[in-house]
Amino acid sequence: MKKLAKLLAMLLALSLVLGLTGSAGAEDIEIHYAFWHGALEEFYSQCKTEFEAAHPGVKIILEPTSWDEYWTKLEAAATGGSIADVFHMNGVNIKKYADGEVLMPLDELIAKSDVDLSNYPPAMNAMYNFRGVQYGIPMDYDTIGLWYNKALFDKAGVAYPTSEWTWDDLAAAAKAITGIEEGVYGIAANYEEQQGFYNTVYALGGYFVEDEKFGFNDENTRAGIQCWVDLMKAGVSPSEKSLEENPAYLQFMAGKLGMVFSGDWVVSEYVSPECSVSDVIDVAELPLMANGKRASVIHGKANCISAQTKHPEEAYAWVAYLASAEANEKLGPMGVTIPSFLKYSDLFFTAYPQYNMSIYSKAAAEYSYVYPSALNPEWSTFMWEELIKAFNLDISVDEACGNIMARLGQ
Amino acid sequence: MTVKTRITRQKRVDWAWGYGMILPLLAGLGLFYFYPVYKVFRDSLYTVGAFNRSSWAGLANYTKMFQDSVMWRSLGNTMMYAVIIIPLTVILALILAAMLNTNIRGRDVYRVIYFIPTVTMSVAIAMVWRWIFNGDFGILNHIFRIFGGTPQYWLSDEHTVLLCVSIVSVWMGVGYNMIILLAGIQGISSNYYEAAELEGAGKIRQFLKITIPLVTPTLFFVVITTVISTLQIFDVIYMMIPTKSIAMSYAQSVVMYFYRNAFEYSAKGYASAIAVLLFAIIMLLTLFQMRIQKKWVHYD
Amino acid sequence: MENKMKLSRSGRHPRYGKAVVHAVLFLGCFITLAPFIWMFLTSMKTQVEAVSIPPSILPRSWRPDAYTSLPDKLPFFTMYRNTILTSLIIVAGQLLFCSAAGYAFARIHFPGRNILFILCLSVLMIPSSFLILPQYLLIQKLGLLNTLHAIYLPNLFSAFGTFLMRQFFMSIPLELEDAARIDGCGHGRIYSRIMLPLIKPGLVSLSVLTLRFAWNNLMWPMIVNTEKTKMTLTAGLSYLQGQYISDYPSIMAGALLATIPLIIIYAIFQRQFIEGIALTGIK
Repeated sequence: MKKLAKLLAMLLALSLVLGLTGSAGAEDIEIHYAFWHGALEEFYSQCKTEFEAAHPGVKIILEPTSWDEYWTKLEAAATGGSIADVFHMNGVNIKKYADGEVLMPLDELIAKSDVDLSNYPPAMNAMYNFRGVQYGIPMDYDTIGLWYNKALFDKAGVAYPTSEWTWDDLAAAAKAITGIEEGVYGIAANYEEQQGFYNTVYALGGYFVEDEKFGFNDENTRAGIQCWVDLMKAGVSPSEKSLEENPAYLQFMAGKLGMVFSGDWVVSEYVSPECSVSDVIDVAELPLMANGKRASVIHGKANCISAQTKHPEEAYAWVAYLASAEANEKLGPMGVTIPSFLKYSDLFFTAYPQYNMSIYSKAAAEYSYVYPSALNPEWSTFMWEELIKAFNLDISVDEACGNIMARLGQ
Repeated sequence: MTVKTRITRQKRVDWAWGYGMILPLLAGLGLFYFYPVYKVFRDSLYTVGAFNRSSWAGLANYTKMFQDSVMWRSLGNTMMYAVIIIPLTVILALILAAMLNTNIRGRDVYRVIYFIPTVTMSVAIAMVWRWIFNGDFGILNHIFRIFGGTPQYWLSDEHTVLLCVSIVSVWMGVGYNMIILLAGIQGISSNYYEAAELEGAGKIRQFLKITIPLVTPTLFFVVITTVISTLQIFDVIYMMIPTKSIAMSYAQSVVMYFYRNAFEYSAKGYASAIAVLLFAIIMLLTLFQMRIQKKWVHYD
Repeated sequence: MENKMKLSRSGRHPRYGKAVVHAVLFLGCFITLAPFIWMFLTSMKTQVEAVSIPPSILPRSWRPDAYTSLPDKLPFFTMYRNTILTSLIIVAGQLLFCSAAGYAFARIHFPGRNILFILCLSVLMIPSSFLILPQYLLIQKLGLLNTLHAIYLPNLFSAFGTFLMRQFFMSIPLELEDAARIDGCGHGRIYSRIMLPLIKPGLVSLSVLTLRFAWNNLMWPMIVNTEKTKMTLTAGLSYLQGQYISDYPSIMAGALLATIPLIIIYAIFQRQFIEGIALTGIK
């Protein structure tokens, strides 16, 4: 038993030593950078090397987190005062964090530096502006396009989507393609926010939340949702349940779908060797709605600085570097995400010359709408809990929207 | 007189040893469990928003809870899990344990194999089961089709999702409980069985008349721990059901609803009230079981 | 000879009965192992093939890439070391604290003993997810975020372990202790020289159970540590889960590699483990 006691003592001592060795040299200023997009890690470690070379004495500590835990962890860290100096933010959470005074206002720092916000999509700047204060600098953006399978279109004898296409054209094509092969449907019309009804609602002039008022009683909002449910009813889409268990992009990659609304980020999957349809697919602009308008919701990440950071200047220097022409020029050709610096956005597309990728930047420049968000994130839960029943054809869109408003107390 | 003082001195020494030996544990539990529990109770009386900004709420969280239909459905789901998972786990574990207590060939290999699910990462397990239950391409539907059944979207159907989660939980829990019960069965004196053999009792009769009554103390332990862990069911749901699933409200347990309130809606005060309620339920059920154990647990 | 006679007397259809037992056990094994076979097959596929629909049962081409590339994707060996280290510390801590407290609760009379014991047991009834946030804030206050201490510290103290240990000590006949007392041994000596050696199988049982828990603990290490080099394996593998597409082959490969040591340890100590649990008679 003495041996056991000795062993215990040794283990405990060992652990103490290990715990102490983790910290770096005391003289370096450490900037901790928290982010979730795993594919960006390589880009960031390149940036880290160059940044550290240009800023001796500053050390960047990269802290990647998986998407599933990112927000839980960030909030816990913010609550405890141990949040990273610089971190990724998204459109869903910006208001909550800005309102919670977790974020450092950037206006003065931006004014003093050579960062020029006009280099980035206006809708993206607006997303990270809360009550007139800028809290983040966009680092990338996503818009939405209509992907289609040319082989299935050919087989059904339907012309490919064009920029003049309307929603009715889309519905007709979906109908023609459905059943052309066993288990093939025209389009995925399930409950999808960014890659689904958000776009049609905005195109038709509807809205979700404006000044903490919700738009589910607005007839345009309802029409923008109804058009999808109509496709479901027409039987030209796999069921809500099918698409829940087998996501639309995977069914599209397996050649089971004629069309799908996809964000630019999915393209890296579409070109992978296991995608059986890589050679017969392309992307077009989203269709025009009955009012002759189209819309693409825009979303993207921004870099924010903690209000609690001990090194605001160094932290901002890192943010400014990530927002610089130099960094964006490097990010583009990697084909991971569209750089927010508009001049370099198209570099992303050069990684995929076989597809008509420029529709994504056109959407950002010409008809992009800010991703909806409200102070209280609960509204989006009510929205999906109710609307998903409408997409599953259990209740009508009107009833679902009524339920949402009732649960929101409006 | 001297005898008495010696006894009291001895007592004092005993006390000192007693307190001294439990002190480290109590200090640790106090810091990492009792203090957090106190925080949970306290928070349940406040409105605690994002980043712990709180204001006094009195019993508002509790009154909200009693009117919250989602909360009641989650509680109902949790009870359904208990009704399905507890008997299945315990019965399967008991049967397997009895079988593995015989001199059967490959016994040790079986014992190891059945234990494997309890030591494997749940993330990987959840992914595999998602594929098995997949409505379009899953193995289960494949088998169903062969036997002429209708394929189902098992994990997104309101009628089947709870059963699927239960099956995976049972699958993960049987091995552990089987080992505990096996240990209990091995503690039974072989005299009983020899006597029964002499009377010509068959194996099944022996199992019912000797094994089950004499293993009840262990069974009691297994039931208590299974009840507690089932009422806390969370991991399997969290990993198998996508957040935005039609079936979520039919699968959601109380702990899952707690988690969503605390971490997704930033309603920590309300989440704490939910925690207090579940804590009270578990406590009452455990006390109740302690009470009725005399009726069915046989101690030698 | 005697065995044979017993066999013929014990059941009406002994052969038939054995066949049923074998059939049931074998079916159970299949149900238990099938998901692991699937895990292995997935680990030999490419990332996209793993999620392709319809799923391919056998990999189109067998490739061990998921295994060989793990050290490039994650600081795999550091994470492995962290897992081993924190698990061992947790096991050691529980053996020490729980056996001491278990001994006191079982063998020493002192005022408030039962109340304190029930207080300890009440910890068992609290779902650990309820406590994550306050525990996190505590670790943060102690300045231990992003250290290995954060991973093991709250887990050194276990109500379950104490309960188990108390059962073990209660199973030892009082006479042994009385004899030692007459020889002039104090509690310290009785505990360390007489009792601990006697409950060795019990210590093995607690170690196996604790190891299983510490090894696979997911949520807590993920919350308290942000740096990959301070992460345990189970939690570290979650980095391979993406927002859209997860690297399933690597997750499966990592999960299999992470599980094997536990299976081996359990296989080795299986008999002692069961013996230990049996010792408690868990009452």
